[in-house]
Amino acid sequence: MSNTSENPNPSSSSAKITLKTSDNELFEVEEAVAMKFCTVKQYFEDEKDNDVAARGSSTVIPLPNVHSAVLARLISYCKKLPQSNAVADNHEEEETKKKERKQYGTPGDLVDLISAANYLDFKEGLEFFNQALADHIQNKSVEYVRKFFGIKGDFEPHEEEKYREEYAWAFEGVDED
Amino acid sequence: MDFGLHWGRRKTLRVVKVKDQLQSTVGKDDRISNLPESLLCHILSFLTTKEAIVTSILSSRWKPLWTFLPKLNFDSIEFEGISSSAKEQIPNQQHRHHDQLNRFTFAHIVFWVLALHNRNNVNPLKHSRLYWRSDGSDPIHVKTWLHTLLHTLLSHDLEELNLHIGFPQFYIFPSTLFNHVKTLVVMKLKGNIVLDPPSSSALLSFSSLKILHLENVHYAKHDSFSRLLSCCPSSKIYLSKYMSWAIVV
Repeated sequence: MSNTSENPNPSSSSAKITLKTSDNELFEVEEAVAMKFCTVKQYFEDEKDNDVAARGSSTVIPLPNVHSAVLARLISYCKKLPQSNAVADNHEEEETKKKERKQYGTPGDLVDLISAANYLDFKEGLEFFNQALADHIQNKSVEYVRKFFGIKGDFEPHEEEKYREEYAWAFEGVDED
Repeated sequence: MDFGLHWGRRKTLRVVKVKDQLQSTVGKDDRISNLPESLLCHILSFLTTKEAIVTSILSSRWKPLWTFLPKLNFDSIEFEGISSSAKEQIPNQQHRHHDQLNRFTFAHIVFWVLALHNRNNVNPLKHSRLYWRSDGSDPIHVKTWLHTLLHTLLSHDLEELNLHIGFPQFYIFPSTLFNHVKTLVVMKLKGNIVLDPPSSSALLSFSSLKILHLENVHYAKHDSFSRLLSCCPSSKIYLSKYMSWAIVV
């Protein structure tokens, strides 16, 4: 236990993997965390097969589609995973989870996190961030969602009018803001 | 706070810059619509069918997406306000608008959506959740609707059926439906549903069933429950902790 000052969790693997982001930042992360990203895992295993000497901290895995700001948030989310992935089975738990999802705020942030989680094939992250994004659509008016995400309606006015009449029941009872 | 990561040089400057970049894109560029279709569908899968349909008017990109979802998720409470406001309109409406009124009842909407969904065969329905409280319709009609609806759903190789009956009348789960449950992996029944499985086990086989939730449902005969279980691959079945029942004689 004398050497654990830098590693507060002695049971976790001390092996580190270095990830290099699109803006050339280097992230040294624990192997257990990096292996949550299936894309990294695949790359890491292929490398291991190719060159045994390339194991461990000397391996640098390039992630040309992920920016450092996004990767930092994904990694911090990854660290919190154990308490995040349990399925809520009552209303209170669902509300707590909703609050937790709200922390990942702006639509731009969420889209970045989703794109990166998709590229990294990080399944728990995709589930979480996609749901966080769905929270911003749920029971909201079309106008609100368009404004929030910057979506431009591209229907002709008469086309949209007709469509709204046809689906009138779907547009009733939504929040305006 | 240790996040278990080690930044490269100039970390503070970088983060600030990136934050500025992210903030500046909010509400300006439509980046969400550029996400791959599969991701947009995943996002919509967290919504009810009604909420997903609302997104179809956002833009032409979004229009067809809800029909690609392999699930239907309806709760009649989402339509309660609509039903009553439609009813209030009756005295002022001409007779020719009568069919328009019908379109606003919960049952009509569910069938209409199901028909639209089936027109597109890209992703057949796999999951269906229906919570039917009461929409004020004649109970006999509701039973007919439900019967047809369940037959339609189960003829689609459905994997998950989640049915909650909240209206006060008993709904007898049609015994002929038990011929079509082979593909079900999850079945959750709750509320005023009466189960009367056929006596011949050849007609009843939940060969794929893994999760069975029965909550406050009723049984037609004393051996209905055991008959139901005998047709399940019991080693895999997870019975809900909420399971409770009553015998209807």
